[in-house]
Amino acid sequence: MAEVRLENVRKAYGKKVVYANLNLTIDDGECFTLLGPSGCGKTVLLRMAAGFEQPDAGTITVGGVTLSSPSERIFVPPDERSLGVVFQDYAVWPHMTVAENVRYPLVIQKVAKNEIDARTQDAIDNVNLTGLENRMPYQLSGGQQQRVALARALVAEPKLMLLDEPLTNLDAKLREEMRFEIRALQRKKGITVLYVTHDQEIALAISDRMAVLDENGNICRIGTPTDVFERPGNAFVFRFMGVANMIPADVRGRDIYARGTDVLLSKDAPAPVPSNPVLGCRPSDVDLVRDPGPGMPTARVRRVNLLGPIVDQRLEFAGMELRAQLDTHKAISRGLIFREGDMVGVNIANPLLFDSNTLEGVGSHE
Amino acid sequence: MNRTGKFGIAELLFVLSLLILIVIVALPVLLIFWTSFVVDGHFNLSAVVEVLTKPDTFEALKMSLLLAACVTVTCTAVGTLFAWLVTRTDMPFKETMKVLFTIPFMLPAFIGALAWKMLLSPRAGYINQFWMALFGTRTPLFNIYSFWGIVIIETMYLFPFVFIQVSGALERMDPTLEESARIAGAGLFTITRKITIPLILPAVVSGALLVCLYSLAHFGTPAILGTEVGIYTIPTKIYELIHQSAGSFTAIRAATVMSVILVLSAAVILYTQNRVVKSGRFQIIAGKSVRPTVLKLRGLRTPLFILCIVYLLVTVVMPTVTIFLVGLLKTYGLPLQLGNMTFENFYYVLFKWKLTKDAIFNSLYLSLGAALVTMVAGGIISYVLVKMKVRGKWFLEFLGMLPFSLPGTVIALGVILTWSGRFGINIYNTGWIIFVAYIARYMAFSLKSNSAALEQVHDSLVEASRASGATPWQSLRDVVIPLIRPGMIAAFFLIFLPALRELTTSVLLYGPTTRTIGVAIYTLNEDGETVYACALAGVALLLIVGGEILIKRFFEKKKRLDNGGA
Repeated sequence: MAEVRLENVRKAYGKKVVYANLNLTIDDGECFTLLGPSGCGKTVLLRMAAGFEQPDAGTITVGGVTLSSPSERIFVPPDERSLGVVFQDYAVWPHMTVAENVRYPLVIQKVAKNEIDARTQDAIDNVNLTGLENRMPYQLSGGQQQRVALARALVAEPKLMLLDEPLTNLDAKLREEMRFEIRALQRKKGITVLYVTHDQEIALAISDRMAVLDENGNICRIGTPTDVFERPGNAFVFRFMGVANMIPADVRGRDIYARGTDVLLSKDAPAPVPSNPVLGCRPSDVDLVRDPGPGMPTARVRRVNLLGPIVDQRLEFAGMELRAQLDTHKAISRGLIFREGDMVGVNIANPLLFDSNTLEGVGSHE
Repeated sequence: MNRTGKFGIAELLFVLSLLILIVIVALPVLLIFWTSFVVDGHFNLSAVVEVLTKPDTFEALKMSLLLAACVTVTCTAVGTLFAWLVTRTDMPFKETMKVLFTIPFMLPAFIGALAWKMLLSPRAGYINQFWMALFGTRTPLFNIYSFWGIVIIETMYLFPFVFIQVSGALERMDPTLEESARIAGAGLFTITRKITIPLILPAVVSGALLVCLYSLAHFGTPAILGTEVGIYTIPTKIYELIHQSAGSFTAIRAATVMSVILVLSAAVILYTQNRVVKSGRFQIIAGKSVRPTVLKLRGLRTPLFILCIVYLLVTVVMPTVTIFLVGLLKTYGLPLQLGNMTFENFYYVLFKWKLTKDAIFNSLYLSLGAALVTMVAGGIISYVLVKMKVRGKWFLEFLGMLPFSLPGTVIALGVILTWSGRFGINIYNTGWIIFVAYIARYMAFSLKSNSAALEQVHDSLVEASRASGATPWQSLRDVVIPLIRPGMIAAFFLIFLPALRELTTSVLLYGPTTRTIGVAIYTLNEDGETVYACALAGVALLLIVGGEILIKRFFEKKKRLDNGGA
């Protein structure tokens, strides 16, 4: 049992308050992702869970055992927490071979020699490094080193695995492969995983549940990936989860107009309507129409970028930029790839409404 | 299992580091300042001025500054010229020459001075004798017992400071900088003046300042070549004061006041040097190994090559050969002929004479002991400085800077003040006082080498071991120490070899049975036992060169193992 609970956790560095009052529960056996822009304090949270940092106040328990609680003067050091940690820079010990790296946690635990050998081999096989046991780290690629780190974190069968951006330094193909492997291993072993990243694609792909943090370390949204993606709750989360169009709007009845105009954007305003509404939609929700009928909003095509499977068209709409992304095959067959300067009709599907206040403090999309 | 660790490894190491630095380094310096400025319990500046304006101390101060200035200028000229020749011209055998030009570094300057004394002393010097015989004159070619004699000898053995810095800078410099200037239509002279010189200037200045610092604090050469004709520098004056006064307070105070001058000059020089090095980081493009544009020397190629060879022959080979030949002579003054030679002297200093046997033994165990202790202590202090987050670290950082700006003479004096019974411990005239002084003297080397190694050990490597279940001690043993071991071994040799030939500090601290090799050579020479001085110097040279070769071997092997390492 390794249910992780953080209750009323406070952490500050000097005057910079990272967490004022954090409450979070990670269920036993789930893969939980903390998603947030860099500098939001997600790594601090992971380091507190690991015991590399102590919270200023509050309690951290794992599986019902209190590990950190300043008020009770409890602080269990990392080596007594039964953890597996994978760092962003791998942290593979350069003076040890692959096998020596992986077996180290077992050696420290004084496991019997033949059991060490068997479990080490097992862990190495699990991450597909079989045959590289006697290599030194500098003879390995980045992806292989990361897998050594993963095997080392898994070999002692920890209750809790903490992963800090472990895939950031890998190339796209390897990242996808590793993502899959981590997920598979986690399911197989039933370990609780806390995964920290700023990459929403990984978060969506890997998590059972995820939490989105804003730049100030507030948890904006917790839920399953589909939940968070479909119902982001506020503009920050919406923008953080992918490319977003944001159009200031007026809502009259169930009709949404571009603010201060009579351009009708949608007849399907979702309830409730916030006081300063902003319409948000994904580029894939923007349909383009070659010959707009009367009353249909129109936009001028500014740039057309073919990105392979999709074509990305940037439009000027009511003085703002609007992005539309269409499936390349469909766009070609329907004649929807325009020339720069063309006027086109715009049709918005699945509009979401946010309060413009929640836009504040939203940085550029990472 | 639940607990909050209060007094753990971090606090222990921090307190230990503080203690080491305070007792070994800070206290002696503090006492020097105290003795200088406090008279009868009162702060007294006029007494300081009085000491400084006394004719003989004032002369020594002036001489030290003048000497350091001249040596700095000549070393800069010589070092930069040779650095440029071996990196940016089509000189033959450049790679070999580059190594050869660093050899003078290995030779202790005072042994060089000793050799040159035998070659160029006005009456007995072999070269002068040869000259006078050849031309039937009674005026010697050159009198080494002179200001310029000292300048020349110091230049011979200190110029590698500049050479190493500048040749490094010239090699790292991105040639595209010069090429783009050339494409822009600049001539070679303009390029050199506007591009090359500004780019290597930080390296030149930084090397020059090191020379200046070393020369100011250097005892051996002015002691051997200057004292005889009344030329005193700060270190030799302090030596004379301490030796002739038999511990009188006035003499000690005069010495401490001069030490304060030395410390302050050293601090200013080091501060400037740090700033120059920092500014240089921006400018010299941290390029990979690049092929710099090479200047064709054409007709000058052979003459310049010969110049380099002659320079090396004169500064390295000739003095070394002289030391060994004189060491073989039956009596000093006999012509250098095979019939007058014997191995008896070497046998005598190595196995029979207690004084020299003691000196060799003392130097060996003092250097070994000091190197070991300083290596470990420096490792601990560096660990706290680089890796730990503890309150009050700034104070430790400040203390850690101190050893870098303490000339050997100052350390000796401070150690005398601290360990002659003032705090209930009197180890004066024993080997221990030299031991303590060596630790203070070489702490800077150890700190530098160890912290450089520790900075390479990323925090996450230690955290990874903690997360794997290792206690702080276990992760220190299994991760940190194995990773910094090369740095620690480097620190050991960086201390052991210089300590083996140390003179400046030991000469102020030795007692009847605690001569070191350096002291023994120096005093034997003073007492006119020239052949034994040379035989012992020969032994010292063999020890030093042997040691250097061993280290080179060790690090080359290490490098080969690390090849391809991240």
